[in-house]
Amino acid sequence: MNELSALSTLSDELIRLFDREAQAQFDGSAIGEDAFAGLARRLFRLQTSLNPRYRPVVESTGLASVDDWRRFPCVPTAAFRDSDWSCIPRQERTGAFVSSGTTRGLRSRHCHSRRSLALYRGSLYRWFFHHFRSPRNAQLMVLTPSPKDAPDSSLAYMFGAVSQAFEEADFYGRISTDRAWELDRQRLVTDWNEARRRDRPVALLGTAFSFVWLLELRELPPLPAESLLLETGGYKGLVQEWRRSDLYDALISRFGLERNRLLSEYGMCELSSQAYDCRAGDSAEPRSFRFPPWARCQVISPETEQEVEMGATGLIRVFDLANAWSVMAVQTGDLGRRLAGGVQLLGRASETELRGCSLRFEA
Amino acid sequence: MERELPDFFLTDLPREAALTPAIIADACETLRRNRLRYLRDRSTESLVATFGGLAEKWLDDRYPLRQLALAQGESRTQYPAAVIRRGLDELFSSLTKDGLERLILQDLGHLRRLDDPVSDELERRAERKSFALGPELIAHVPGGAIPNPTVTGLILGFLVRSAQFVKCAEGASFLIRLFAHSVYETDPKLGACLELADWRGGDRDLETPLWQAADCVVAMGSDETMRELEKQLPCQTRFLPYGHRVSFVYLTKAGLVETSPRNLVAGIVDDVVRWNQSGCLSPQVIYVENGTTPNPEQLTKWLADELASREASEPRGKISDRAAGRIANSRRLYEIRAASSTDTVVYASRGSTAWTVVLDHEPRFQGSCVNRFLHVKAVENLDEVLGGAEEVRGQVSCVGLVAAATEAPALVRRLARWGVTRVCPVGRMQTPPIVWRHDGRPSLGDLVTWADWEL
Repeated sequence: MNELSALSTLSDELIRLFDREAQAQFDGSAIGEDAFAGLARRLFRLQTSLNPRYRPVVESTGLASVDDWRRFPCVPTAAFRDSDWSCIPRQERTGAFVSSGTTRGLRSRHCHSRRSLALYRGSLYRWFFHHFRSPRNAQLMVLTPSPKDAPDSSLAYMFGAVSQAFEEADFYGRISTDRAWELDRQRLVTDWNEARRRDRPVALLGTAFSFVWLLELRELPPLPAESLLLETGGYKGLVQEWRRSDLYDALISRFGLERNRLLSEYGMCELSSQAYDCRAGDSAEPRSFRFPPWARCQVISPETEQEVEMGATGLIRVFDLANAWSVMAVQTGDLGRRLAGGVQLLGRASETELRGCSLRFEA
Repeated sequence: MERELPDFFLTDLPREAALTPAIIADACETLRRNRLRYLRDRSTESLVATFGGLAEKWLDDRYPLRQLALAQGESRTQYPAAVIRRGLDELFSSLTKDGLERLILQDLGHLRRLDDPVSDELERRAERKSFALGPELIAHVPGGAIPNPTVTGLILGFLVRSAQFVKCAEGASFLIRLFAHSVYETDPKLGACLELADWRGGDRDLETPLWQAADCVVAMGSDETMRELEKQLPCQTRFLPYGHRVSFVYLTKAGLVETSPRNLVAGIVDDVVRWNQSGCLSPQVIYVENGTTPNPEQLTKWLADELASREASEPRGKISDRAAGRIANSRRLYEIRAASSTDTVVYASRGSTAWTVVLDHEPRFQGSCVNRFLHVKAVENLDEVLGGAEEVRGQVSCVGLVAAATEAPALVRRLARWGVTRVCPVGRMQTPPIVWRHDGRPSLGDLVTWADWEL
């Protein structure tokens, strides 16, 4: 069996394992620590061999033969802007997810194929519904454009995938003439009021940015009982930035939501798995983002590159088996605090930017 | 520190003593009153002597406020004691009586210009006298953690007989506060014409009375902050904004022939180590022409060796997780490039982010992560440099130039026409003389208004 076939086999095997893990309520019976280590090792060897960009990185570090996934060389998310990290043969590629990052106009690209998208869906679907526990009769309202309108957005793809599980689902985002995302406010207000009239729970998905818009729509009444909401980052800087806690407080008081029915998602186009900070209905505090068992997260000291102590802060690394078709070991540009249950997001370590003394501290 | 310094400025008050708009307005009123009493009629000679003497105190290891700066600086600023010591030495060495007099002569043409209507030689022939007058109240908004521009700005403000209010960035006032106390302790009447407070920028309630009271606002920060600030000022207020600036070094083939490589490397690293590269005048990129001896690869290695050796003698110290994270990510990105291209070479401290040097052949200006992170870029000529730096055109504060004496004038002419406002040898980029025209403007001259008397 050649290596590409081996990767395809592993990819299919992973989908089955994700399913088994979900059926077992993510108790680690399918992908426990040992199983993860073994799968990661297999994947690392295949990616080193198949990925022409990753191979020299691994060789330059002299770590080609290491077995411990914690030592696999990580690729920073910023490297997805100027290089192709895909193992997918060109003729099999069906498209790419592109980031909304704006540094010098460069955007990350993560290529996909029919097979890699099947794995992507396998990862996102089970873990999403493990957290986003919506009532059966909920009406899904998605505040991003549809995957058809935004084919290069991993977020739109993800929301599109999960929307298929709802009897009633619609997208209320659209692309403006200057290629920005905006809300179809009129249609949203009409459908929102209709859901309210029918007293049908609403399940809302959107970026933090789209929820700020929502708060500006004075004509929206509170949501019916059992409604829930999932927020994800994005579009920072295009409107006044809110602190997440302030945004939550405003959404709770305005729409009558319960705090434990507001969820946050952490994901990016360079990864194929996502993390959530709460299961709907659970009230555990402090909240922390948890990835599925097939994606391990580490918080590392930027100074020593070693994992930090519990409670300490550092850069977030994710080892994501669902990234089988690109690189599994990814170093994000985000800072986090290591907590027992997961990681608390502290924001961007920020990109390299032009700096001078005038930028050290803003008055 | 609260126990060691008297509660003299608003910034000395305990945290729980909240500032109000009325307190700010009262403070401005008091400053104006004190200026009339204690400052307006002081002579230039006396002020120059006072600040020359004060600078000498700061250079003395026995001076208690200097000792406090060195003892507590590491925990109160982002710099370790060694960096602060060197920074204070270099700052106060430049603030001599002679230096201040040269600045007055350069910007105002006569030593007594701020005392009375006087004539220089040309004016005498034209039968004219003129008198330079400063604003009654200057508001300073420091943008950086480096005390140099604010300390210098305060001394210039006193020279033009202005009362001064410094609105520090929240939590970034330590060194400025010590300097203010040294003014107060040396000359309480001058200290009575100075106020310091710190609050988080953007607090309109507190800022409005200050902008209303000040005749002149001297501010440093991002270009965006400058634009926002300008919108809030009354139209008659003089606004002196110092926005975002960067600096680089340019080394020519002929220049390197005439230069000792050892001195060159030591000079560049001096400019990087000073205030841990966080000044606008500190080089972020070293442009070096291909074909030099040493070649760009050797030079990069020597810079790395020198940075490593400085880390032993003048360690960079701890930086925030955010700043370290930025370095770690940037390094990783270049290491990945280096893995598949011999054009990119990365040297970096092991087990820490203490220093980094990256060589590549891409002329595009790359802003550094600072904190001793240097980019070396091999280029063909100045055309490539200026093309690569087009994105920061108009924002380049200083170029450290190493060129042959014969080629230097033409290079400086091109750099100046392109928008560079200061060219100097490497090793002196971060230590401009007091007469330096900050971002191309006369620092003292910009503060005054002239009164002409035609005889």
